[in-house]
Amino acid sequence: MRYYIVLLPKYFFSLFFLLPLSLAYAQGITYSLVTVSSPDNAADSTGFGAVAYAYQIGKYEVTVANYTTFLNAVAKTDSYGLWNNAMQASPSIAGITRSGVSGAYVYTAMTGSSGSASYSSTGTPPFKTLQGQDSSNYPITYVSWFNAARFANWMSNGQPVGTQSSTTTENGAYNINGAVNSGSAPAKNAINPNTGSAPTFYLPTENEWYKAAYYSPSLKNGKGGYYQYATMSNEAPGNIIPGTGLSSPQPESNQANYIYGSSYVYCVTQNAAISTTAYYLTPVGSFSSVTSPWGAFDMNGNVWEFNGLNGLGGNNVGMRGGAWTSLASYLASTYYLGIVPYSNASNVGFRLAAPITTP
Amino acid sequence: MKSFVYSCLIAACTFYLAGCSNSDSSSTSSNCSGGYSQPAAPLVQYSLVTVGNPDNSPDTTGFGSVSYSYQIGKYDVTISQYTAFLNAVAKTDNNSLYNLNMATDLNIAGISRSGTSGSYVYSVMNNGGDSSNKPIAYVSWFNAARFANWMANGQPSGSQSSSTTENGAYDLSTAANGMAVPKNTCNPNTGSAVAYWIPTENEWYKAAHYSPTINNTGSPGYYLYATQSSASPGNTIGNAANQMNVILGINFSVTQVATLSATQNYLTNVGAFTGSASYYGTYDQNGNLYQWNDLDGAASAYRGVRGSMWFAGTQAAQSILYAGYAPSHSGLDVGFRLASFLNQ
Repeated sequence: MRYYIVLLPKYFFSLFFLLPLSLAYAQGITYSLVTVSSPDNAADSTGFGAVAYAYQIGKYEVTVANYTTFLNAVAKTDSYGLWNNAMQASPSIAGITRSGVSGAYVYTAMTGSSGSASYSSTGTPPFKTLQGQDSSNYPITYVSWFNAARFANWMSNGQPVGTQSSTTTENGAYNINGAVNSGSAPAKNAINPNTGSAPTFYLPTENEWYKAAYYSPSLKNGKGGYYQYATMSNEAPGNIIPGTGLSSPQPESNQANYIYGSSYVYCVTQNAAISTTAYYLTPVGSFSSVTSPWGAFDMNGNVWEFNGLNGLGGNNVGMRGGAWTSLASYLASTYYLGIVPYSNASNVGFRLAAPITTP
Repeated sequence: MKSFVYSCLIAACTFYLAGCSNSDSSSTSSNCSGGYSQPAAPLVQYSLVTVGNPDNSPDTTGFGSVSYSYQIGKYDVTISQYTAFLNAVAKTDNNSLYNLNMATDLNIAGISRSGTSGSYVYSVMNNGGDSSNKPIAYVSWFNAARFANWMANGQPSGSQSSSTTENGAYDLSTAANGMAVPKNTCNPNTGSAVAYWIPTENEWYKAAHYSPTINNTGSPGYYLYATQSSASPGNTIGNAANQMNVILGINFSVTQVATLSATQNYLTNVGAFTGSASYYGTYDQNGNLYQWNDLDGAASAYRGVRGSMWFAGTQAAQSILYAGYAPSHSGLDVGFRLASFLNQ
C-alpha cells in the first residue's frame, strides 16, 4: 500500500532519492503499511483478535530515522519532551543525538560515522554510536504512549513543521493536550479536528494488533485461525539473524530478536551475559524471511509495541509481542502487558495502524 | 444474597480461628514441636498479614481500591509447602501438579520425585543449599488454584478429587477452553466461606503498594515499589531498605554478575530482604518470582501476574506495569501467594 501522491512530502523524498540533487525541501516519512483483511473474523480462544473491518498496520516498527525526522520537524523547542536523553545515552539502543540549544535543537540518527565520540555526560553532542553500528533503522525506544500518540498525530496532520501545538503534535488522532508525566490515555478521535476527516494514522487497538500478528485466514482449512507466535508458527522462534549464521546453516524462518532457549542467549550478541558495551536492537525487517500472516515484520521481539487496548482510552495502555529482553513465553498470544501512558523504556516502541483508505 | 454471604463469612471465621492462630504464631516453636509425628497438625503453616484500611481510594493506575479488610500471604508459597501438598495429594498425579522442571531447571529447583505413579514421593532438593524456603515456580494458575483448594479444604490427604484439589476455593471441573474460573462464594466441602484463595489484582496491589501514611506524612497513597519506596531499588540480599531479587543494571541479585549460569540457583529464601517489606508486612511482592493474581475475579482466558522476578528488571516491579498470562502458563518466572478473609 505504498502510493506516491503529488504534493505530499514523501513524493519529494522519493524523487530526490532518485536524483542526485541537494535536499532543499523537507524530507518526509514514507511509512509502509500492510493490509489486514478478513473482516468479521472470530476471536481467538484468548478472547482477542476479532476485528469487524479491514484496516492497515505498519509493515515495520517506527524507526529511529522516522522519529528523527519527526523531532526535526516539531521539536526545535521540545516543550513536551519528545526526545529523551536516554535515546543518546543508552548504549544498548542508541539512538538519536541532540545538539544545539532550545529553539534551535537539531536531531541526528546516531551512526558510527557521524558525531564526535560515543556518549558521555560531559561530552559535546552530536554523538556517534558506541561500536560504530548504524542505528537509523532500529525501532525507536524510550517513547511513552503519549509520545507515540504524538507521532501518530503528526502523521495524521500531514507531517507539518512547527512548534508542538494542537495542529502538529497535540491533536489529530488523539487529543494529548500537553500530557507528559501523568494522566490517562484519551480515546482515539473519530474525526481529526485538523483535517475534518478520520485520522489517517493511529495506534492499533489490542484486537487490531493481535489480529495482524497472529491471525491467518488460511488456517483450519481456510476457516481461519491463530498462530501462537507472530512468526506464523506455534513453536517458539529461534533468534539467529540471517547472514550471521553459525557454523551450521540456520533456517531463516521463525526467528526473532529475543532471549532464546534454555541457555537464554540474547539475539544480537548470542551471549547469555548482557553487556553495557553491546547493542541489542536489530534493524526493522532484519529477519527478512519472517513476517506475520499479513506481512508485518518484527511483531515478535525487538521491542514491545504499544496498543490502545479497546481504543476508548483509560488509565492504562497495552503492549504485546515481546522484546530483545524477553523470554519465549512473552512473545506468545497468551501474554500481554499493560502500563500507564506516560512511561518509557529501552525495550518499548510502536508501530502505527491506519484505515484502509490511507494511501 | 448479600446476607447469605455475610453469615457464611461469620461461620467460617469461627471455624477457622484455630488454624489461623497456629499459622500466625509460626515464629514460635510450640506449634511445630512434635508436629512431624502428629498427623492431625496442619502440614503447611502459612503466615498471613492483615490488610486493613478498607474503602481506600485507587491509585492513579486505577488499581488498589479494596472495600474490605482481608489477609494476604506474608510470603510466596514455598517449595517445602508445595512439597507437602504434593505428598498429600499427588501419589498419583492426574493433574500434573508436579512439573519435571521443578527438578531439572537448576535456576529454580526444587523438588525431586521418586517412585512410580500411585506411590510417588516428593522431596525438597538441595540445590546450592536447602531449597525449602525458596518460592515454588513452574506452577500454573490452575495448580495454584489447586493448592488454594487444598488449603481451603483443610489440607486433606488423598487422590486428586473434588474434596481435595478440584473444588474448594475454585470449582475446576467447570474450567472450559483453558479459561480460569471465578472463586466460589462458599466452599462446598466445608459449607463455609472460602478460607484461602488467589488474591484479586486489587487485593495484591493494595497489599504491595498502599500505605495509609505514605512517607510518614499521615496521608494515604501508593508507593511505586512494594518495598515502601518509590525510589530506584537495589538488589542486595540482607537488611537494607528497598532491595529485591531482580536484575539491577545488568547483574543478577544472587550472584551480582551479569553472566547467567545454567547450574546456579537464582531464587532467594522468602523474606530474605528483611528491610524491604510492604507497609502491611509482606515480603517479596517485588522480585524473586512474579505472582499470580485473579484480575477482577471473573472467568477469563488470562490471569494476572505482577511483581517482577530474578530474571527481570526493576521496571517490571513497578506498580505502573501489569501483565497477563494464559492460566495454563507454568514457567521459571511465576509463583504465587494466597489471600484469606480477615480473621478476628
